[in-house]
Amino acid sequence: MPDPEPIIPRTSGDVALADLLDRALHKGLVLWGEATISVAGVDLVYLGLKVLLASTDTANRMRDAAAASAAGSHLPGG
Amino acid sequence: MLYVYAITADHPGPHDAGSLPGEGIVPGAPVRLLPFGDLAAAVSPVSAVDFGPEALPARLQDVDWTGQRVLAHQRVVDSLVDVATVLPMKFCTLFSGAAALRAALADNRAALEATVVRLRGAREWGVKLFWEAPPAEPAPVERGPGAGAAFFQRKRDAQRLRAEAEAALAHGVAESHRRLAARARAAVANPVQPAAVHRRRGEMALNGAYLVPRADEAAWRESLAELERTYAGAGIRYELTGPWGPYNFTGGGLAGS
Repeated sequence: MPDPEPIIPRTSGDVALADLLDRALHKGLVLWGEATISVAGVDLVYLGLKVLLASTDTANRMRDAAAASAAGSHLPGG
Repeated sequence: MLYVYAITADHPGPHDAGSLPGEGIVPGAPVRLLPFGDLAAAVSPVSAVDFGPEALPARLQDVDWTGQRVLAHQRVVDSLVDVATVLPMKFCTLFSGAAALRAALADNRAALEATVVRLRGAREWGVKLFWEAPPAEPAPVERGPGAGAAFFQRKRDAQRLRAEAEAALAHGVAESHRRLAARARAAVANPVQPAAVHRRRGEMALNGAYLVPRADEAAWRESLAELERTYAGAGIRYELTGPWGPYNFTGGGLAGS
């Protein structure tokens, strides 16, 4: 079967950043080991960042960082 | 210490690191693949000065620092999505070193390999459904006899219309998730984001994630296009994001030693 056409995510900035936090901080594989010290702390940071993301400043700074660091294509929809 | 971005499998070459970003979670920290049988772990060395148990909680309070680190984590996961089967780790998964990581991989080998089988050949997509209520018609100014009865009739009509719209929305949400899930290998409806976070017109009524086999992506996207045609008249619109590493489908936590 041929590949589907290239996909252009139909979204922009804010939602994709919130989605990234929802995934990288809230989901993902948790592999407990003797030194997985920080995962519990990340749960608390997740809530804080979600609140901060609701402020324009924070969203803009993160979006600028995404654009500057990645030539555009690394953050889905960013 | 080692920062772990993802567990991977099915690399086309012998753990070819060619597609990995040159820089990882912190400047100057290269990303490499640590082989473990048929699996590999994408890792970077990090310093306990930033990532140690005493330092990290304070570092994470710095929004700019943390934002940059989350984006870096995502860049590495993203670079692997198209070259391997990827199990993205939760942000800030840290081990004291390669020996500790290998021990955790060994303890969880069967579960990790089962997860690889579930995720192989598929990518995660996000679909959000937004709903805008149709604008209410301005009420005419009533005077004279019968005005009171007309007022209450209008109020009843408005309540009925609102209830009908909400029932139509609930049906549209359930049907959207059902149809998108039907063409996916796995699906999850996550909590909707509040308006302050999504900052879109209308109300978010579905925040779905779908694990879609690559071979079925075209058909799955056609399902989404069909939903758009079906529900556009009901004030419903959709937003698609992705492809993502399959964060929503890694199965959560694995026990360690």
